[in-house]
Amino acid sequence: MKKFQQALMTGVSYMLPLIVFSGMTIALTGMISQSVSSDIEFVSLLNGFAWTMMNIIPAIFAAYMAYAIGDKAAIIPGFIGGYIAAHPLVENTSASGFLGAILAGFLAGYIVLGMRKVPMPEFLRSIHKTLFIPVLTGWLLYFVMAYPVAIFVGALNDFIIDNLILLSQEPQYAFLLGAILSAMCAFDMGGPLNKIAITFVFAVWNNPSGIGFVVNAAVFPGIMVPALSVGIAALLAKDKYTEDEIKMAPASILSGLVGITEATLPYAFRDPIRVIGSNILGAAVGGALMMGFGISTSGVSGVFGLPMASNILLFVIFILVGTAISVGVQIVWKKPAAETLFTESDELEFDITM
Amino acid sequence: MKIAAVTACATGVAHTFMAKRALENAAEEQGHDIKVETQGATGIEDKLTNKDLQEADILIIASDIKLAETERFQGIKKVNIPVSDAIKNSAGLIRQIEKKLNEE
Repeated sequence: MKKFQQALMTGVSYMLPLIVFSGMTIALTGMISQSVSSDIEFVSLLNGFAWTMMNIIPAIFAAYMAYAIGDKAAIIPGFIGGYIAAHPLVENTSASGFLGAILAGFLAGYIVLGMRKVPMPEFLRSIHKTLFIPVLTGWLLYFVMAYPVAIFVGALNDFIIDNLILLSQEPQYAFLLGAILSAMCAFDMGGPLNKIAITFVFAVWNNPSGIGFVVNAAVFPGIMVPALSVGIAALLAKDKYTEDEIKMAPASILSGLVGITEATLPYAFRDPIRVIGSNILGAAVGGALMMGFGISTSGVSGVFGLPMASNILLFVIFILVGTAISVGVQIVWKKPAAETLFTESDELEFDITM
Repeated sequence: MKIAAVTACATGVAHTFMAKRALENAAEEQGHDIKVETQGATGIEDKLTNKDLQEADILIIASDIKLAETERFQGIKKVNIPVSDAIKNSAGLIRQIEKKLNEE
């Protein structure tokens, strides 16, 4: 378990600069395009590039997670598996996102570790390292991620979307649909459930009942609340967050404003239950209010959806309510961060090894 | 005692350097020589040389992540701890290492 945690942290450590680069670039280019009405080619190209980089984050994460377990030879198999987690290839399959990337990094690391221990006759040893390991583990990761994992997520995808469509035909349960959609986005922060919710929004986008823009508004709290609330909570309750988390807070708040939920990941990895739990609660309330009051918008991604909202004031209030709930619950629920608990005891567990 | 240490955390901007300071202060207070390498966000700083490592009585590895260039540390007496333990209690850690080394 300790090895697994160290692998997760190594993955986070190497992907962070890419999250920061993509998130901040998308935010900046988005703001520029929003403030000038004409399309500037330079800005839109940079924005598109930042989204491309955003999509390889799971690959980088899985690559370095695998590296922590299986060393250098596991980097590329991990990258291959993580890439497919974000880019499904086979028809009727879906992206498995960060959960898929964790699986890919774990598999690649241990498979390479195992293959390195396979006894090989002298004359095959160099081929084993340069040919067998990269090709065989690469194929294996490709196969596992492109078929069983992606097919399973694809089936889950269809199942959830069918049920969401059923639910959307019952107007009296609108608040419930809003809560579910928003909670899905807050749950895995850019992962498969998040993508399913967005896929559903686009599936009903042109529905003559006009529900498309309503469900679109309902996912906004799910997209914005997580990154906003971890950032705000870290600045308000400094004893419950690590030094690193407080330093990242302004970037998280900005990411939340422009709808980059991924900025929540480092906070969620350190304390998953409390962080994701509070975010789901805040987002669900925000989503329920949004759909319960029938607010709609045709805009996408964070504050860029604001001007098109059917009731801008309520739209903002509902996101703020969701954020306030998540911030409050997090601050109350979280335990003080480790570094504030200075101890002077001599009772430490460790062994001296060679 | 001569101590060599390496610190590293996931983000590599705060904990890595807090652990370095904590180890340095505690070692100095107890009258030990120490050199601390950091493997932070930008890479290795204050790198431990082979000479540093050979002269050291103990290598303290305070890290939450997989370190770089670990082949240098082969065959050296070492202690592995999470980075937070170094921040919380470097003084106790060093005292206890000294005790254990003397018992050997």
